[in-house]
Amino acid sequence: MTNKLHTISRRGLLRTGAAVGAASLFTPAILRAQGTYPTRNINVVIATGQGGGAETTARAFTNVMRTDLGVDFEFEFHPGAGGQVGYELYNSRRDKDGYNLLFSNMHPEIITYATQETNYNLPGDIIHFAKTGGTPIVCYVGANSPIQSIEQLVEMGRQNTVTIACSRLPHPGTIGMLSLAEATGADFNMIPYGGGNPTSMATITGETDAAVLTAGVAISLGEQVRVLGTFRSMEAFNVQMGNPPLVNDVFGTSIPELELAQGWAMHTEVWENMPEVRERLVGSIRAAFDNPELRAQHEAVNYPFDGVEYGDETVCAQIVADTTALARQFADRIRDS
Amino acid sequence: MDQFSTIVGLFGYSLSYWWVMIPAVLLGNLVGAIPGFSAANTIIILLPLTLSVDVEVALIFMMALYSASQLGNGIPAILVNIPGTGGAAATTLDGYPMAQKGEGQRALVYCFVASIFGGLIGTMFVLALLPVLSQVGNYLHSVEMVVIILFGLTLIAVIAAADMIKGLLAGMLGLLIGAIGTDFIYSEPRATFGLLELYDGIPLVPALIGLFAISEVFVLIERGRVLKDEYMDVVVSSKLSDVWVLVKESLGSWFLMTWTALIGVIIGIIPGAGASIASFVAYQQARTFSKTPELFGTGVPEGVAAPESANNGVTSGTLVPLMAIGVPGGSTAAIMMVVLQYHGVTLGPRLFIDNPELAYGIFTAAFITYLLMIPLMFPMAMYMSRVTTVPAFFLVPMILAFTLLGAFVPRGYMFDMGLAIAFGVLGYLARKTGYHVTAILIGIILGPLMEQYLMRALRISRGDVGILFSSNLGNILWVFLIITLLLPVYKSWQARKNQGEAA
Repeated sequence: MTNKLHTISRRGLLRTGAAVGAASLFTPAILRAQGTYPTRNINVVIATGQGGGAETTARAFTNVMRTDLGVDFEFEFHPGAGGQVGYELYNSRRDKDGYNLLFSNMHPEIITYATQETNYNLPGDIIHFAKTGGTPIVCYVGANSPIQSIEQLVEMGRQNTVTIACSRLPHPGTIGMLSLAEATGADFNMIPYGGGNPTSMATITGETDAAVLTAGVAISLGEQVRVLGTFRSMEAFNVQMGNPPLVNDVFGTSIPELELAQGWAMHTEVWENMPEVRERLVGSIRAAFDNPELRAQHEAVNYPFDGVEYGDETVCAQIVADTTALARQFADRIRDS
Repeated sequence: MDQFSTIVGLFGYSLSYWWVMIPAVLLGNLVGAIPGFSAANTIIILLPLTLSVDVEVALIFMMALYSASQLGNGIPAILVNIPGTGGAAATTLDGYPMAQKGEGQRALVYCFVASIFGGLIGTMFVLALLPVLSQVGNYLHSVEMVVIILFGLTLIAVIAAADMIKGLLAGMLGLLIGAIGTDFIYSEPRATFGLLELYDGIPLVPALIGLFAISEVFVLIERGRVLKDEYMDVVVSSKLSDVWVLVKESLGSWFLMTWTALIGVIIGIIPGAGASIASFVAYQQARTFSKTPELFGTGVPEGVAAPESANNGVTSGTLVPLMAIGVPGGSTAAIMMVVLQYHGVTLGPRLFIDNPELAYGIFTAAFITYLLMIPLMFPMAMYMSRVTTVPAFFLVPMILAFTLLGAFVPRGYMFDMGLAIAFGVLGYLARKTGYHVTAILIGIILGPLMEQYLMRALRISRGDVGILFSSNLGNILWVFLIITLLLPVYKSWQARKNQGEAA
């Protein structure tokens, strides 16, 4: 695949004059990042649409980091193809100068990378270097559903086909439910709804028997849904969801712990060749975790702070490797589902 | 009774925010009238404002902006054949022919009356029946949506009536173009030619701008101005007092406006559906049940009133799932949700108990906004209609500048400006060769939605097409669809029979 046209961002168009643009063409990116980084605003690419969880978390962090770094952050959103559009664009059309970052919904976007043909390589071209938190993947039903437990759902699946709404097929939730189906002999028919809101609506309105998504979504829906089981046990989330059982505990299975992690990524070239940028950003992100303002930022928008946990580049690398392997293992089953 | 008195009190409370509503209405009209600019992206741009003021002010501002933008969409659709969004595309079918024959002011008045009337009816309907309407989503699933979208798609056949082969070919081309992008189930790219910008499908705004605005520019260059020369005197001699005569005349279509507004509310409640589907369905239904269906498309005011009333009914509809269960019904509602969350408001059924002023206030704010539009909009109709007399020499550069910028704005890709020009050439060739650009656009808008709902329904049934006839409500809609398809045939047969008997 070749990307035939070049694009500029809306904010970039308004911000930079033609003269600055022309001058920058002749200035090597690496030179522009020298000096006391950062000297100008940092651009953040998000591979999902505006108003989603990635934006909420990214803004909570940047609202804290802007004080530390002394510059502002500007966001651009490039949803499409399960994150592939945002990643391709970030990799091939954003300067590798330390002033362009990617904020990622790691697991689904890594699954897209692992199951689609892409022009970028993880972590060869883009490196995830700071995990900001994770939310468990959970299975839930509408409040009016007759299904009361995960055992009942599986039992129904053993007798008849059970429909499960999911955001998209290449998603950790799909992998979780297909793993459960395989281990228990249940028949789960995964129905993609293309986003969190329609997925939840599908099970609340009874179009599907259940849904699988993140705990954050289920918690935000409050009394309208009932969480049947979780694929990763995290105490703070469990309490808010009425302590649903861990799926592996119920069925004695060994399904990998599934979550949707979020985190910062950057061009690998910058990570490797610009230590000043790397250290400044990692230091600022790390410091944000110790700043009480980060919790306040989350609470201000009713977004759960419980899953916020720092993970360095080694943790991120492990997530990329594990998720890639898991996605490739399940690629055929996702396709055949 | 408590709830009733709360709502009554909220009308007065909302009115006290007139100073927020008036600038929001004017801004909403402006952004609604420029293709590519919408309430959603304007609210995004103004996030620093809406996040820094009180939640009531933010909510009222957003609601007024949203309502006014729906009305604004129809203005360029009528005057220069350029719908502000897909929701006003159906308005061009009769609005523009009216403007060309010197009835621009009349078309605008019908547009404003229908929008305001539809908005008021929709808001009152929602306020009165909110608990019931919040349950509508429980019954409208993928199967029912397939049939509802089919109502809209049959408009292609209506448009094709004048030249069946060309009409159907244009519709098919639209459906093919709508199939570009990653597939809904497996996220596999289709017909993207390796272009990243096409992975998410053909973007609607550049397609809309190209097919309507750019192609219209080419036509305008040839013709000199929108207005046909023989009607120049009619427009120039129009008076401000004519507006009130036209308002009275247009209110004669109150029944049409009422039920098309209700179509808008119901379709608006369904997340993912929206003004485009509602306005096409409303137009198709208005034509079907009209006494003079053959006149639709030639410039009849009912062809303006029906889609405009419906797309303003959608405004209230999209807020039902947002307020009732915390799930937004459309993109603007989604952005409004973000703003409300930043203000610490948790949406959902508890909001009506914990903060009824806010929960019901959004609808009363919409109601008052529509009332405020009456003195704001009607006096402008006469002056706006004069746009049709402006020579292409002045009009064309302005249209090109605004619309190409509009093509760029939603996604920020230079590619989209090129795409708009490519669609402009396609639209121009289509017009010159007698193909209808609206038929192409219907395919582009409704094709992907149809695929999405159909594939989902078939996936639920594992490929059994019987699922399409498995729900009671779906079957009732099928019967209605068949009736609306057969009714014109029956009417035409009866007309021929009557003519034969008379002869």
